[in-house]
Amino acid sequence: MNRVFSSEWLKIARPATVLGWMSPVVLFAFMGTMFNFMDAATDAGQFRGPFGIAPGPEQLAAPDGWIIGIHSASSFIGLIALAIFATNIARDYEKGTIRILLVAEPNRFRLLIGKLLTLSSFIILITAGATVVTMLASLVLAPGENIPVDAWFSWQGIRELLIGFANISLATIIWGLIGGVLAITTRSAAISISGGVGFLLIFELLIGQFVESVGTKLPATVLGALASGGTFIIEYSTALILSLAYGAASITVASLIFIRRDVTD
Amino acid sequence: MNNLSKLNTSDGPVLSANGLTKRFGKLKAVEELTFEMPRGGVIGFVGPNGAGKSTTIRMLLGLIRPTGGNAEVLGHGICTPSAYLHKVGAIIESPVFYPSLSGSNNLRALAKLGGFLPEQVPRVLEMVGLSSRASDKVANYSLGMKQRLGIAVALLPNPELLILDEPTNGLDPAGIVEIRNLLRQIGNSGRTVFVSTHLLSEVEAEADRLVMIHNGRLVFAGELADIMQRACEAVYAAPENTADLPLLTRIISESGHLFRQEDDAIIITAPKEWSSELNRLATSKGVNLRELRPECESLEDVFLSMTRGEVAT
Repeated sequence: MNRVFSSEWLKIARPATVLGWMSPVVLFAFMGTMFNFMDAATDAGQFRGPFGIAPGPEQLAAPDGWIIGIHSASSFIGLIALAIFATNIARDYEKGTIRILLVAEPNRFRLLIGKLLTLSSFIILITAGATVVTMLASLVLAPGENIPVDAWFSWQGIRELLIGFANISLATIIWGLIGGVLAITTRSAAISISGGVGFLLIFELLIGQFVESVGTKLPATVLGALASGGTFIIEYSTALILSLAYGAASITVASLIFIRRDVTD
Repeated sequence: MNNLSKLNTSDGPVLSANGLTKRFGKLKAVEELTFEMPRGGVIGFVGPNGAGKSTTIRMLLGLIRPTGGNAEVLGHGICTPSAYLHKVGAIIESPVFYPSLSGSNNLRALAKLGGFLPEQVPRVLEMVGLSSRASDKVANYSLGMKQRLGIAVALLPNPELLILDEPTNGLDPAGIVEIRNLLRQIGNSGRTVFVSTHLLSEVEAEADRLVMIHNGRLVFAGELADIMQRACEAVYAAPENTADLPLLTRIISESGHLFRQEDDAIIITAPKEWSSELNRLATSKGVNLRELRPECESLEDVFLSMTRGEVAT
């Protein structure tokens, strides 16, 4: 597994790749933070589309207030994670590099899990970058809106920061795993990304509109709830269990297809 | 190529197939392929485009599963590729790499993945003549350079068996000769090179043994010398004086061999060993021969004659 991990990192640990993927994640995290703090007193409770419901000044002053911005952008960051996994895996099929990888490492399960671990660690890295930007942006923007920051630096604040980072990282990795299984199934980056985005943002929204009981159990909603540490619709424990189930299902389906299918192109 | 040490390999065939079959739906890509090849030297795997060469190679490398039959590589069944692929280097169809990485980083990534020694990277780059361009991005490589890098990848595991699919595609004539010599030296070092190509003239120049397929079926498997012997079942004789042509014709006719006249020479259907007998007979009748040699068909002609029935259908 270590061999796959170090080999894959050699391919993705390039400035262009890291900056290319980290930039939109950081940008969305910054936008989420900025929208939260701008007019916090007047916009509280308003629905802002993909950025969710605007928090009020009290929420922003709470111990977890300095990372609410990245929670707000979690759907966008999740979609980027989906694209990262899908692009990395599908391109090996599109370019044919999967053939040389499988000759060098014929244990397909080991190769797949090594790839997924590498991409997951990459996701944690860029999520960490986005979290730092969110914290710094919150510190800069809070005084302008007269939001006290004392609670952020309390032990409770540090704890919330670490838990929040763990939740957003886990949610983002599971978004990525969904991208991975789509890429292995379709063997096309474009189809897996457009299909994933189409389902998770449009089809899932439509299902949620018509069948509310099902809508709260679908991936994008559940992962959004996990990233935010639970919502008023889905409790944290439910979100965690369902998210882990989606992750496990993605790994199982991806492994079965990857191991069993002929590499013909 | 002085970097290539002699390899002591175990006995037993390097490759064997027994009724190996692969179907894609109704299409029979490879059908009942049965052959066995001993270790060492260069084995040409030949057949026209679409004959089933790449499908066979993919099965040998564990990339696709056979529909029927079985095969062994270095004594291990192809259903367990992990058991033998660490001793096999391969190029499958056109070599592909990560274009944004340099040639050496592509090799380093694959060396890490396969658990091969990192010192192998500069060594194999030198062997294929790419040391000076090792730090260039593969995106800037020509097709010929990518082919060389593909061969470098195949050499990374210091393999007992090299399986190369059309390795000289895109190379200029000088590059083809260079790669041919490299493969020959690898074959002479105790390793086995299994090289697929649709260019029969190329195989004729470098192979010791042949596996020929056509429409997914085996046409021939054995020593190149055997098939070339079949190709050389004729003798070309030309008298010094064309006026002696009728007399020479009578001598050959009396010997009972079939013959035909071509311009000022006669082509006789006979093994090449009969040349000395003909020379003796002609001299005894006062006919001096300007030219006397075995008349060989090319491997391409032999292949076409062996597959003519199938080609016609």
